Amino acid sequence: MNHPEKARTFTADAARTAWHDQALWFIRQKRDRAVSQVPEWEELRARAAAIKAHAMSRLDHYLELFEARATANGAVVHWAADGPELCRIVQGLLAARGVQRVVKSKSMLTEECHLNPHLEAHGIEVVDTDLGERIVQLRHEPPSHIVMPAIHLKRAEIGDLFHEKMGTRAGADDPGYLAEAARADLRGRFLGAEAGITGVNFAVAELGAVVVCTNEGNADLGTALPRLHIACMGLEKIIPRAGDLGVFLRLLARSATGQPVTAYTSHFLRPRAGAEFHIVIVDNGRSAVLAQPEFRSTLSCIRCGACMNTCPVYRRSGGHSYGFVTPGPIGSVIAPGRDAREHRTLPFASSLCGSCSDVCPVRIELHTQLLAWRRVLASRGLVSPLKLWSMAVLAWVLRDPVRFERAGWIGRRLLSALPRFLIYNPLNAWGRQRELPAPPRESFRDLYRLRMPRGPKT
Amino acid sequence: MSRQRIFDAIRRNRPPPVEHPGSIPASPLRFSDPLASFIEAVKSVGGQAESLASRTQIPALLKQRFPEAKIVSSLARGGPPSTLDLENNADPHDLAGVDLAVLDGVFGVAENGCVWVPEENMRWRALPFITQHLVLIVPAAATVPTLHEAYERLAAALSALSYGVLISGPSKTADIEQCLVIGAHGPRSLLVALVPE
Ligand code: SF4
Repeated sequence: MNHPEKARTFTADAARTAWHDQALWFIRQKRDRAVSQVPEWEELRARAAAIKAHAMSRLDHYLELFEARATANGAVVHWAADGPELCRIVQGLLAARGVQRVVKSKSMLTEECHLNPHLEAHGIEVVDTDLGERIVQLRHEPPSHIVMPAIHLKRAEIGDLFHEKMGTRAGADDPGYLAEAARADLRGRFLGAEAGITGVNFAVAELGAVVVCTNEGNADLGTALPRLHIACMGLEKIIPRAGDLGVFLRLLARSATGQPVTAYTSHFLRPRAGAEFHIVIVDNGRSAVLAQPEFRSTLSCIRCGACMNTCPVYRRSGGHSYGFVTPGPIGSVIAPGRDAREHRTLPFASSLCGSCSDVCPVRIELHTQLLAWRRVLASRGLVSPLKLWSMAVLAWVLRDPVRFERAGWIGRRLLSALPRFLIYNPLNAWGRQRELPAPPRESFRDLYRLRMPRGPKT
Repeated sequence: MSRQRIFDAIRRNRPPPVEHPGSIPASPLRFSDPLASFIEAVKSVGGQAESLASRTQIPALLKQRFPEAKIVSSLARGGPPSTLDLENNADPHDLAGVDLAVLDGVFGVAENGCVWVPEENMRWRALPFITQHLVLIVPAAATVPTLHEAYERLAAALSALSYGVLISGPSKTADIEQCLVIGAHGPRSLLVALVPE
């Protein structure tokens, strides 16, 4: 199923769509309040974008530096060209130590590489410990948001799930009660785990340090008890200096949830006494993006989720409608780079309003890239004939002022005169799930002429 | 090998060099009273703050705030006696029953309520997370305005660090319908006690 088809399933429940829309808009507003507290916000964004652009232009240098420093610190660095290799490396590390039980903190990379199913197929129990991720894990579904994995679920659904899986009271849906039940359940799993897997928010080259941000403290608890910590990172997570951390951390949580910072910002440099620290650096298509000037800046993404919270399409179609590990505007520009045919509808899941680019803390020009992808897809013949045909007609109309005015005149008459079944025909995507507005009798130009009898000054 | 393949691809594909924008200018966020802003920030992220005239007041404060706490791990200077032998405790799993941990923080950050706690102040990395309640003792005069100054301050210490964490409030989650719940996997409460030095 493509995006419009999946979105249709989501929007079939109008009340739920409105609820989802509001929940995300609320987070967008929290973000705005947090951002207004920082007078140098735009300066920080510019810095962040410049630091990332620099880091990507010298990525080989910084990866080598990171590897050297991390190794000197006592960590073991591994390289994975793709998802399957990451899975093999991690599974190999676990198998060599006889590990059966693993706790994992949030990592979109391992989600992207399907690490959980791989480990489970090898008889290893993997428990996602971020509450939102745990919820979707128990439901056997992927996260619908990169920061709030269970944002699509209502408390009653989570209550039912916990009743079935953890024996909470039937019908109980108080978030405090449910979170407490999850805490108790997961405590035991933390204590029983033989290895902890984490993602990485930032990898500081000059320190060989891995920085992880959480609110729950699960990355720390999950790595401080067992004797093995495996951190998995995409190679674009590199930043050059410790001082750069200040820039990114001041942007990240404010953009993500409107918090001034996450509860825990953890810096991992050396293994603790008697324990091992492994870092797996994954490419999986990232190095290829370096060669694409138009799309290169997607490598700067710090996965804050702000672009999805603000996106009118994401808010009303839900994360699962994108069919890709990262939904929303950023997902829609990354996904077609991985598989253009499979994800060909995603660059069209946008009104091109530009709100995503406005909120992006690292200034990725998302809406420009969405448009660029449409062009690429059209040139590769991956756009539906109906869309191409209607675009061609539109272009023909818009090219000529007289044609445009006539078309407007005809349109206004037709919309009021035609019977419903002709207007809301299956070919008219704009007539689905919405009523077209009543056409005005006069166009803007008519009104303008009426009020400016001598004609507009030029 | 994958390492070589990845580096070959990066060298083939990397864009022309772009300069690092240089060290970041100090934030114009200059708090007239950084300590007051820090206390406000700690409260806004769900923590509590208390100013003490001296470290000698710590045990009394804890007795009053945590009368129920049975298993106490204290590593802070001037903290109460520990009921747990942390030095000879060989396995962090033995910390599972800790009710209250009392640790020294190095400094606070006014803009977001963060307290810097390096590994040497906690003995076991698990301690500040596995404990039910956490108390951080922080020198009041050490408050910095923003994370920018925090990393400037840490610059020299970071490369020798094993592990360190900036802690802002108690652990929390909003994963169920965006309702804030304090006490996710880590401590259910955080008390920052400010001391003169
Ligand atoms: S593209 Fe920008 S706004 Fe979207 S998740 Fe990445 S950093 Fe955040």
